[in-house]
Amino acid sequence: MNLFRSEEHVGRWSLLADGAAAGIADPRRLLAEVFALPRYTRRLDADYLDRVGEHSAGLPDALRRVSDDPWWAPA
Amino acid sequence: MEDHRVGKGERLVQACRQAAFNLGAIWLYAWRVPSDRASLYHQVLAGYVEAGVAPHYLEIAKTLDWPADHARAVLHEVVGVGLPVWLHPGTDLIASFAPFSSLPTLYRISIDGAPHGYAQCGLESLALSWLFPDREVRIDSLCPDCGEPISLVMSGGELLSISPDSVVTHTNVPVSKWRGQYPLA
Repeated sequence: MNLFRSEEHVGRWSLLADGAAAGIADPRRLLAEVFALPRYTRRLDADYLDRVGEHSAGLPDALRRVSDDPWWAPA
Repeated sequence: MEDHRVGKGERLVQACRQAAFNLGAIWLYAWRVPSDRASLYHQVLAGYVEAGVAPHYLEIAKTLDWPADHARAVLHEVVGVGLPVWLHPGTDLIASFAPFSSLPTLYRISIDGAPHGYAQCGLESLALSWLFPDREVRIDSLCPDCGEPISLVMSGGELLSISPDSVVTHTNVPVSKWRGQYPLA
């Protein structure tokens, strides 16, 4: 998972996988929707690993808000 | 001195109440005290936050007052949970615990201007500022396409600056296939 200078740079990347143009996302949106979840904000809690399932409950919806492309759909 | 005014029935009720209280306390203790897996996970992340590199399992064993073999076994259990954490193949050496990497990546971290190791990847670099409250987290990277610089500055989950303004994130593997191939995603 990488940062690129723009969408055009992703399109030109020599290692771009087939169909992976759908893997582009706006970092601001990811910060607001995904990386604001307790799954990421509570990582330093002493009991984080015991509660990671609970902390991750909002992840599927957050990913859908970033992109509705199947590329971003969780397993 | 025993209070003879309290009958046998009442003493039985009191004993039951005490037993229920003790059971509740045990349950509460078990609920609140982190598991060994959680304790080890916490030690690894705290080590990265403190020093920019992961601790060895022997250091974790000393810190937690565990036998070394127990720390090693718990480390492998934690890696098997399915989170984006992994060891160097065939070893007990921590290669990466999201959002950090022990191996050099494209994503150099600075905390308040001081170098602090590497982020696991471009996406996880966005999660770093939560681990350094009230501090400025800077990521310096290079575009995989052209090699020109990219930088982000964050604090408390907020993006303070991004350069160039057109920066995007990209995952080369569908999210549904991340597990099992995190290093390639």
